[in-house]
Amino acid sequence: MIAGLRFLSMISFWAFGAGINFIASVALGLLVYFRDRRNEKHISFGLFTLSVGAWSLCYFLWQISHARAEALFWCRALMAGAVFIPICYLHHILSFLNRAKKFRWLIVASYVLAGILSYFCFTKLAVLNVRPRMLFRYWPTAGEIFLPILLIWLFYAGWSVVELLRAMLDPADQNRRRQAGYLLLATVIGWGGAATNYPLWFNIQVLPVGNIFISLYIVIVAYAIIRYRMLDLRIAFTRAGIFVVVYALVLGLPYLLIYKYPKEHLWALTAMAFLATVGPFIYFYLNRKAEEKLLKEQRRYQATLIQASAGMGRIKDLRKLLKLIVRILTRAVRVEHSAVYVFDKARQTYLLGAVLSSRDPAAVPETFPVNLALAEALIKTRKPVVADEERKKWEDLGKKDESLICRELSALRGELVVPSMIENRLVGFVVLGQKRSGKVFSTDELSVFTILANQAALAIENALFYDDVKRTQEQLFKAEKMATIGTMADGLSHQINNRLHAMGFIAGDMQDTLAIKRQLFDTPALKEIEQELTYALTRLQDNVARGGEVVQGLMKYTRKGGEGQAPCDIDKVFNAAYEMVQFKIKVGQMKILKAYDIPSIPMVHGNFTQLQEVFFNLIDNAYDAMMQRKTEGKDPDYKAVLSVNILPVGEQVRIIFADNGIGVKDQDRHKLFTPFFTTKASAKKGTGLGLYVIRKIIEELHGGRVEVESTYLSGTTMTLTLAVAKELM
Amino acid sequence: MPKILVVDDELDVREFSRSFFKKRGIEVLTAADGSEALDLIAQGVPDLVLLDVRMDGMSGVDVLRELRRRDIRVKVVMVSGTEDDEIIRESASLGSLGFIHKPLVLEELQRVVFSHITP
Repeated sequence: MIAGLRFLSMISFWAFGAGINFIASVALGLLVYFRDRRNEKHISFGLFTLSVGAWSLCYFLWQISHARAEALFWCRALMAGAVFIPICYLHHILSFLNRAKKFRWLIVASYVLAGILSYFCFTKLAVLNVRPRMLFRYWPTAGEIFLPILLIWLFYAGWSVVELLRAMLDPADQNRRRQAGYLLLATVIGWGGAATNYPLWFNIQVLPVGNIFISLYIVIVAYAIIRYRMLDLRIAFTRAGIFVVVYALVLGLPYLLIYKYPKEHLWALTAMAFLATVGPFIYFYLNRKAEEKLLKEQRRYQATLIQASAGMGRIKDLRKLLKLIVRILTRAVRVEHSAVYVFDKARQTYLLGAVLSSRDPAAVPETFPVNLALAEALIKTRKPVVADEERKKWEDLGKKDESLICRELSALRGELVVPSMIENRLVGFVVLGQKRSGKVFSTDELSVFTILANQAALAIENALFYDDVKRTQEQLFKAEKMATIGTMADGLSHQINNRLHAMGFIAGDMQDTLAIKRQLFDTPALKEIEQELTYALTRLQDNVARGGEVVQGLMKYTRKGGEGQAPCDIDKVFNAAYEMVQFKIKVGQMKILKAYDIPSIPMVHGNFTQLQEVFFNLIDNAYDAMMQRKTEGKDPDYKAVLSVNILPVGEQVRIIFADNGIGVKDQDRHKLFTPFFTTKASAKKGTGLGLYVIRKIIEELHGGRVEVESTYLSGTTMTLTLAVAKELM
Repeated sequence: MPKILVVDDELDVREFSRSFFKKRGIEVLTAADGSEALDLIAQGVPDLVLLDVRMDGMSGVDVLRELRRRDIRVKVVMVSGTEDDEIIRESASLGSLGFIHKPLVLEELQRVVFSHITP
């Protein structure tokens, strides 16, 4: 304790500053270096801090020196470290700006030059001697090569500044510009601070007050490197810590042995040799154990994710695939929620494919437009967008509220958005919410997510393709079925018609005969027979007539179409159909609500007669459905209402028939358009061809669309979509 | 006694139409196909021809066309199960007087036939 205080009283402000500089540079140097040991940016920064550290350590030792010779030695040692600083710095700047390769030989030559100069620093060429100057007992006097060293230093510093200015003026990379800005600021502060040391060398009366700024400079540089890289500090600190402990042990223990037992050199040397051999192994072992412990959770789910991404390609159902992706992410990464958006070609927008929230159901938007800033950024960079980084970036500019990306990210409730790319197409993107632990996403995690998302892109594409093929196949199959029915219907209807025709003739003729010969049936028994026969023949003819209707329906189906299309007034079509349908149904039983405004509806492109038939069938169906509900529902207050609406949507018109009839049971819904399928209670009423004909006319002959929405016991809504008639100019 | 020709490939239709019209004092000739019909018409023009459209061999429209080609003036009513606009248009342009839809209602048949002949 007392020794410690004595030690503190011994050191001056300058010694203290140099000590701080030493600690700061070594700590941050190790931190950055161990973050990525293969990266030249990190290596050169490590070298740079090493030279600054050496210089600061010597500075510190010089400041606490009690003897002239000691001070002179540390001054010279200080210079030996200092000559490396400019070249290390330039090396770091060049590699930081990805320009080191271009100047590879110059950098190597500079290191060699620095090595030679550092040798001369131990002669009186650099530091002539030390003498009292101002507050200092021992201050160096410049030797003959000191000025050239300063000039070399200025040259490198100047070059670094030029490089940084160049980078700052590069408009292509916002991030790089900002980092270059930080570095330039650091350079001005650091070099400026260091420069305050030198006037006194030439006996110019300026105190080296700026020396402490070196620390600030190191901090800013380290910050610039790691700020936008989301450094996981725990790992870097642990690695650096293990390194320091192990090597302190390896180097320190032998010295301790020599200090304690000055006579036992052999033991000390043996210990040193042994420790030096096992040192790296101990280091690697401890490092691995520590990382295993620190990254346990991360490693566990990374394996899950990679495994899952390999399996995704096998899932062909898009819904299932997307659900799987969000489930894996939400569970494995333990985020508050995750969602997947997939590009929809037909609607030219990103649609929410699946979402999973660990807490409340996340209120994320159903669609996400293609032209937003976030989508653009994802396509441009092909890298994940991290909300935290974006916010910081814009906060720096003081324009956080103006950032479109930030606003879009908060709409998506996303902390991280990972693009799913195939070539240059953004197939979709994955949105991750905050981690439940509140921790940030590390660089390692980002690369795992990127792999996962790109694998997902392939799987999504795969599933979409599969869907497409399946749909095409279904369509082909359906078309084939229709064609077969069409061909069959043609021959079949002819044959059946002829049979019916003959039957009608036979029945009619017999009836005719009975009518003519009625007077012959003159006893009550005979009269009864005559009546019975007449009734049977009437029924027979009735059946012939209904069979004929079925055949008529089939004929409509086989009819070729497309001809005779012209602009049609939908309201007129409806009125014509309504007039016709009155002959079949009791329209007084239901109320028809026209919800549209006649002058505002556009003309549609179509065949008036065919559309009239469609409307006829729709009204007829609605009527039957409502009458069935009335009969079966036994609700005395039931009022049958058919509402008809017409909505122009861009180049199309949607015609909506909504009834409050019996509706369709779930199990019947997929059979609605199948020919001869009928749910009508009185089977005698339905031919089972109504909807079939509607679809044929709307979809095949008019290129439109028919959609049915129905709830059993509640009602049915039929929506027709037709093209607006083009104005003839 | 007025005379009509029923052209139909259905034996039942031929038979029962004969019976039906006989009771109404109309003589019925029958032909099972187009060429037979043309032969019969060549032997003597009936008061009316009920011509089935779809038959094996010549169709009703073919028969009608042939009659026009030979410039035989005879009243023809088409009988058909199709509602094909084109066939209806074509027969009308070839001079058919009307169209009876199959399966027919005998009252309709009687009305149409009687409107074209005087029994």
